[in-house]
Amino acid sequence: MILRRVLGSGLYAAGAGLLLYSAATLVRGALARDNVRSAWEQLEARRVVADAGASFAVTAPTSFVAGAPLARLVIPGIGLDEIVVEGVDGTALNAGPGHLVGSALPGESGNAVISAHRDRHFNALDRITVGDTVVTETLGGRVTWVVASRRVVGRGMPALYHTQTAVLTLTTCWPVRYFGSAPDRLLITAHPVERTPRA
Amino acid sequence: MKKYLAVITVLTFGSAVPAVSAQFTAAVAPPKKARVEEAAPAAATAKAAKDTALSEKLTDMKSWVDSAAVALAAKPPAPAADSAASPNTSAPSPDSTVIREHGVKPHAESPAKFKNGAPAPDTATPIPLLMLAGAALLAAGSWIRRR
Repeated sequence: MILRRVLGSGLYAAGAGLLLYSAATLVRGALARDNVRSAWEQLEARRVVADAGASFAVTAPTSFVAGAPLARLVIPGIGLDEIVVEGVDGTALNAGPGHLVGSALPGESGNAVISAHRDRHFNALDRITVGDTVVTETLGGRVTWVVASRRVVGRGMPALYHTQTAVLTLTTCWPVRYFGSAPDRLLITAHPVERTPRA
Repeated sequence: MKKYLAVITVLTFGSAVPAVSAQFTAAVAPPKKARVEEAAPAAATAKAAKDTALSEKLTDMKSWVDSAAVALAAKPPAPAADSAASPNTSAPSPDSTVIREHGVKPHAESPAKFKNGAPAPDTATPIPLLMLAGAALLAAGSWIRRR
């Protein structure tokens, strides 16, 4: 009887601990997401003020510290509106979609790679279809992209390549709805169709 | 007490289900994989090597890397608004202050970096599994105690 009580209490405590840890991680992520969005909005506001009084063109940054907000990603078709942060480690991906260090910035020549968790910010990425519109906003300007392809590759398979023209690649785990560690990766590739540089 | 435990268990399951429900469907029938191999023509390979070198160069420049705010520092007429600053500058720029204020602290450099032929970043997360395991343990504990 006592043993059963102890065992039951132990399991109960372990379960509660796991749930609390998970909840804390999600809450931390939500707070980080809000912080990143606030930081991005302040950057935008400062940019507008700087542009208004500038007597010459202000160049956009080309590199960022890890965890810093660097772009806004909007996909109207799936209701996604997130601030992209630099880096794809656990801390960065908890706050928002992460920009793969070393890849191009969205809109620049080259392959811009943005990744996020399938159960978080990119949980609806599987609903994207070829032809859908993606919008990115950086301090350098706004680019409208059209999804050109979607493919699935194995977890460790070569998937990302340099390109000479501007390409946007969104990645997440695949299958999006899967129990356990997802074995594959979903890659969405988009090409720019409209650019609106900042004044 | 038992009633209380049962209520907690039900509530826990209720909160965990939305997060993990999506995990089950594909376990039944995983979608068919459509592997597409990227063709890398010779010209692209040469260009890739060049780009990789450029990428390395840019990576090395991270010592003086500027954050998003630093670009604004290029504007001399508004010295109060922004000033050029690297992450190591003793007097932080207003923008780097903003980043700290909002808790977006620079953390350890991501281990994943872009290179030609690199796999997609690891975006796996254990949270849904942990939530499911936690709910199961909670239920099991409650059941054992109630017996």
